[in-house]
Amino acid sequence: MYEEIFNYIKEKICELGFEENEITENSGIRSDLGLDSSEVVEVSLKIKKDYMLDIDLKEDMQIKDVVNKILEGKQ
Amino acid sequence: MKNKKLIVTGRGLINPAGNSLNDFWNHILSEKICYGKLNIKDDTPIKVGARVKDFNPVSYISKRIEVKTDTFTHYFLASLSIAMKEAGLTIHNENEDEVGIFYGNNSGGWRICEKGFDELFTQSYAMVNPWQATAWFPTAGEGYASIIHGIKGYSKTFVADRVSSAAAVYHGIASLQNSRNKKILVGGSEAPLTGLGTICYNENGSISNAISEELCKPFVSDSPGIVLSEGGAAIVIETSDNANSLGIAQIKGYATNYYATNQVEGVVACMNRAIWSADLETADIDLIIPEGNGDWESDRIEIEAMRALFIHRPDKLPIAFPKCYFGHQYGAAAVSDVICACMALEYNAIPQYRFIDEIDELFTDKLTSKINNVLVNSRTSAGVNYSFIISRIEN
Amino acid sequence: MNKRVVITGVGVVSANGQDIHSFWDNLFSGKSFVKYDKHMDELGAKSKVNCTIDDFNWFDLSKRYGYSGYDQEARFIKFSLIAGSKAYENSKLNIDEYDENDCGIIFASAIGGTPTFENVYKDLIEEDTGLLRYKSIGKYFYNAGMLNHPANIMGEKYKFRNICTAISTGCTGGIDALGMAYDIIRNGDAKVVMANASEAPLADITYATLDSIGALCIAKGPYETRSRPFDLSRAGFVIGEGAGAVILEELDHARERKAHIFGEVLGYASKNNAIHMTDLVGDGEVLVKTIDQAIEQADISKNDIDYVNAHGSSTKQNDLYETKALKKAFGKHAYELSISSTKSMLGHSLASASMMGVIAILGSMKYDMVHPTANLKNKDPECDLNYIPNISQSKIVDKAMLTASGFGGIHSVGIFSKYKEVS
Repeated sequence: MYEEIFNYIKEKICELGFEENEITENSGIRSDLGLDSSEVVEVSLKIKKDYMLDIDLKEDMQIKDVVNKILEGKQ
Repeated sequence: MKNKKLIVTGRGLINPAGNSLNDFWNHILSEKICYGKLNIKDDTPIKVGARVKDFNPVSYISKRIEVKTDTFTHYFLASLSIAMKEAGLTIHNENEDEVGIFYGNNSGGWRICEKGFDELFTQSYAMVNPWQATAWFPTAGEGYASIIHGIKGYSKTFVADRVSSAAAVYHGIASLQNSRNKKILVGGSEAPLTGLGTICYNENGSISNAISEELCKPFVSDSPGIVLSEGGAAIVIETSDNANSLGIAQIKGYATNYYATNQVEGVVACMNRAIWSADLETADIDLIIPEGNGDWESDRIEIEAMRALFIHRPDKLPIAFPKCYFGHQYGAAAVSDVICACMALEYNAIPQYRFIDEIDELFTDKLTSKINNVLVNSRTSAGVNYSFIISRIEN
Repeated sequence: MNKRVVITGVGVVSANGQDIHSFWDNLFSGKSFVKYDKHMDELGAKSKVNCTIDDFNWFDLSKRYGYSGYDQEARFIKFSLIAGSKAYENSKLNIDEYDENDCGIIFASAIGGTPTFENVYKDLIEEDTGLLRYKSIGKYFYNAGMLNHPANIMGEKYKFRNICTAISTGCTGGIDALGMAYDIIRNGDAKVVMANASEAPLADITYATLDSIGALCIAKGPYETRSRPFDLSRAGFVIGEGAGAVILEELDHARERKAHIFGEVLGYASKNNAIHMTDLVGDGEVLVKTIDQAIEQADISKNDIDYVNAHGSSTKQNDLYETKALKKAFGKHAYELSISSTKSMLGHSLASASMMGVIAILGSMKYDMVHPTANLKNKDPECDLNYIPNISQSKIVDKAMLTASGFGGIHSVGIFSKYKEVS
């Protein structure tokens, strides 16, 4: 499940124009990948649509934090 | 204050006739029409238009920018990158405050407009994408161009119907003359060929709804109307003392006015003033690229004005109608025409006009002498006029 | 030699007044016109407040100013026509006396007829197919998007034959239209130019669009207090609507016809920050450069500025960014400036907001009084300048500055002064 959601997040971020090989679970959304505020909103909207979850994505999060938030939300 | 010599040093366009200057110009000279059936899924009264072909935005911009922006912005950014390359212009710390962007667009981002409405009405309020605010409005072209290239100088976006990029040229030039900028990137773009976009343009009453190969016959009284088109165009204009290169052409004269009534008089006055500002006489004009858009109500006014101004020429006035091949790009139209003027000067050639025998005998599509000065007109049906004189560069 | 440019006509259509005296009186009173909006609430918007003009009587006004035949036009067009006509009326320009080739108009709007687009889309979309089905709508649909339409109407009405154009530069539109008009007259290319900005953006798509990026006000507390620029608890801007228009005129032309002069335009500058379309990054460096350039053009000292009508949009980022920029630009004098935000009472009406700020400045210069920043109760230690909290202050306002920032990374600044015979 973790892997599946991680791959989903990777896919959504790649759709925004980022390279897949840049994205690891430890990548900081802002600090490493450099997503701007609008891109963070877009990822959260995708999660809302596909997982029916309202996740408050913070720019200082890492990818694994996002995955874990989704996992928590699904429980 | 109009004492600075202004030269065009770079050109770029994304056009139904081609996405490189050579492809575009060769296509125009071969007189191939570029419009056809639109195949829009929505029920729209506009069935024919001119689409850009073989355009991949990520050849010019990053995927990250592509995702956040509408097609009209892609067209402009691509055109701009081509123009800046020809001009050899790069932006750095020393010049970032001295370069401005002057951009024309008539109607913003239709694709993102419809996307946002779809999200709002079929998904929910909370699902509207975060780029709606910055991708839809016409300023997006200017904004993203400034971000990508680091341009911080005085810049503005014009939304003025068919003359949007003509206004951009005019006011961009003014910013050079009054020293707000030393170089300007001027352009326009439009991407109206969507369901809602074509419906909107249909309501202006000038667009052809016919399904025919002879959709656009500028200056011919039975022309069905304007062919709606899309694309982008951009030029780099520099003052000659700041230019890195010798340049391609000179913008020698320019004028604008607004005559809501007595429109013929207005067009005459505008052309006259542009010619006067270039320190030329009417006899010095070797080629005219008119607004000539295929809407007879508009065209007949322009013909009458040209007749009044040029009737005493000893020879016929060469005329070219690029729009009859690739339609009216609205936001990009005027700069596309300026680029055509530059190409005509460079190659001393103009396209033949298949309907030349049906228009006023004042005009010819044959060149009899070298082109040195081209008059370009851009105007709206309401009576706003712009005229530019594009000339061979004087030594 | 550059010409001197003065303001000889002013017109406003605003939530707090549709004549300049009511507008100024209400600004000085510090009264907020921000209200709860039931529709926004029912829509699920995070923001539940806006600033609407509830008493705009188009029927009467269109008759008074001769605009019959425009009933179907979008609301922003109607606002623009009335504000423009009010400005023309109080300029006392006489159509039989000026050279029409010397007169022009520049109009600005950020999102024009967005509500019209939304209504048309809703009307045409078929639920089952998700496709649009055409039916004849009328030219007003096209006009709603083509921002030059108000300029065309007024240009024809007042026989303005010189420049006639429209710009769209987001939230800096009003001051940008004024700045362009200023340049044209200063350079001798016209003698009279109306600068007019209008916005009527209140529509579901507008709320959703701005909510999506967290721009709209989600502050708590009584509704009328939620636009609270520079306050510690500020939390986004309140969307508003309205229009403002000024007539700019070449000084000799104004003197010759003994026009009343509201003030003089001394300088204008505009730059792009070239960083992000909405985020304001850094310590205000680009805004500082814009301020520097405008003041240099005005040929005054920074210490001469008495009052700043700030962009002050009530967002966390703008108000901090602007404060930093003012401190950097003015040094010690920043703490002597009187600064206030018109948006604290009228919300943010996008392109027309900066025009209303200009009109507020003209009132300050006329009455030697500066309007307050309303709802400023909780001091933000990072926003520690004199924002005139809640109550107007008497102050001699000889010279004033307006700052505006907008989507697209645009910053624009105008410098104004009381008119004095000798420059």
